Amino acid sequence: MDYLVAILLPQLLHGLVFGAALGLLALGLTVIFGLLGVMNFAHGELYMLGAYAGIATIGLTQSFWVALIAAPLLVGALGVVTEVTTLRPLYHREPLYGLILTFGLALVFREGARQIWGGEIRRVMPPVTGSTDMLGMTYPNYRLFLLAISSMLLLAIWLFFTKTRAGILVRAAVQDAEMLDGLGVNVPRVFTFSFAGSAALAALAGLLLAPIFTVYPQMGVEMILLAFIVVILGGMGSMGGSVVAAFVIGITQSLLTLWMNPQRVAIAIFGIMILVLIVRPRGFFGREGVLE
Amino acid sequence: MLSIRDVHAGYGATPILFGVSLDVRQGEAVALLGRNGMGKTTLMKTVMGFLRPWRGALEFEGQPVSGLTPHEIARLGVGLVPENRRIFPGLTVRENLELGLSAVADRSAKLRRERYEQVFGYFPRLRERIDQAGKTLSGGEQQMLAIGRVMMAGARLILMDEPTQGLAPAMVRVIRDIIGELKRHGVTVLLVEQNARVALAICDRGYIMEKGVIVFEGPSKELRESPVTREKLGV
Repeated sequence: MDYLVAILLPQLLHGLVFGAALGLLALGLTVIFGLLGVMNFAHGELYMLGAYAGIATIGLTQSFWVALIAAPLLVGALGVVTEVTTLRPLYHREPLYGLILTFGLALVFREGARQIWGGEIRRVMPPVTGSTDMLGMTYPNYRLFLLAISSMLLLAIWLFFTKTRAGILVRAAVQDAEMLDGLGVNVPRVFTFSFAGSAALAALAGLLLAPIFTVYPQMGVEMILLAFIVVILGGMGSMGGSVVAAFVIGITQSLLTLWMNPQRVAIAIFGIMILVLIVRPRGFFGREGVLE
Repeated sequence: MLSIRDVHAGYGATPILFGVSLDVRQGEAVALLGRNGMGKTTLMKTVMGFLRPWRGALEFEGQPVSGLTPHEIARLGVGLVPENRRIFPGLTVRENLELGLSAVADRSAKLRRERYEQVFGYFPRLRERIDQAGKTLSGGEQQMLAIGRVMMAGARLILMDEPTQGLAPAMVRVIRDIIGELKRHGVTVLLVEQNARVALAICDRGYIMEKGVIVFEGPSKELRESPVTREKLGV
């Protein structure tokens, strides 16, 4: 019982917190996958840039809260520029071009960050301090705040996709972009908007997780691997699937660290992905034909 | 209303259309007949702007449209009911119809209500299925939805690509009656059909396409009786 309350329960909560933040990252990735037909390799770097944009804003304003607004806006604007100048000319080519492009963008962003901010590890102070006694244990307030805000964001995203015209346009573009254009929708604009939104969400996840993890130019690489696994497990292109898979991976990773060192946990996560794909090749909620 | 002059087009480096000329006048229903793989769907895609013509001229109501994007062409009043319907399977009937309104600049509550009433007047079945996902509809219902979608847009020229394909005879009759009804309301229709009998029963005139060119044209009555029709279409 002591083991349960003192060790298992906090670790389970850690997993929930991490899963919710991972969900923000994976949702943007899965939407872009649906639109472009390729994984956006630069997504992890947008996550990293979110943390650095946050640090820069905090340096100027001394406020984490201002940074929480500014970072996604700045990275979202970078997303607009990137989409219009580099991705748009490639839409009529094979998806492979997009794959190579996003891979190159990832390198550019990562090295760009190293040039501007240097390679050393940085920390962000949590804006919410202290801890709360609950369920017989003490739990840091910032993590509770993180769980609350991530869940609220996920709910807001769900409302956006189901209740607003803009959200329905994005879903329709994921399903059949050409037909949507033929109905009178400026689809290139939908693409730009989606890419910007996905970049802003990644940036938000980057800054929100910064007080728990550390900030350095390579930080996106590890996260993106997990986010890829989440998207694959959720069923490529399925938004609901991504959120479910994000919680599964978040909690699994968190619990496994109790018994294994981090390298083995990474291997175990891949093992789980392979097992799930053997049983359900399209992931939890994959549709037929997404990959064709 | 629609004028196609010597249009050449294709996919990648593969030419499909070799100089197609065709006219559709205001208020007419025109059939475009021909066997599989003769370029009928390619022509529809070119008119809608999905494919760019390599040569030749496309005009809608006197305005050149070759080189415009599909959404610009849709906003001029051209609607496409595509081959295989292409409704959005993960979206509900309501969301699919709502997207039909995208070509309209004025999306006021009043116009929306009118258009919904109009669509439900023709297809009461869609009202019953309003909150169901598109993929749960039967083939005939999906076809109704694809037609309802361009009705929401208030398209003045509707391009229909094989609307009766794969439908049961009773549903073919429903679709046929709808096309007749649209025509009575002043909508112009260009209809691609495998089923020449159905097409010629609704349309005023027809063209026969073979290997990327128009090989025969005439009023429906003439096409029905001509030996050329039998030879080219095998009916």
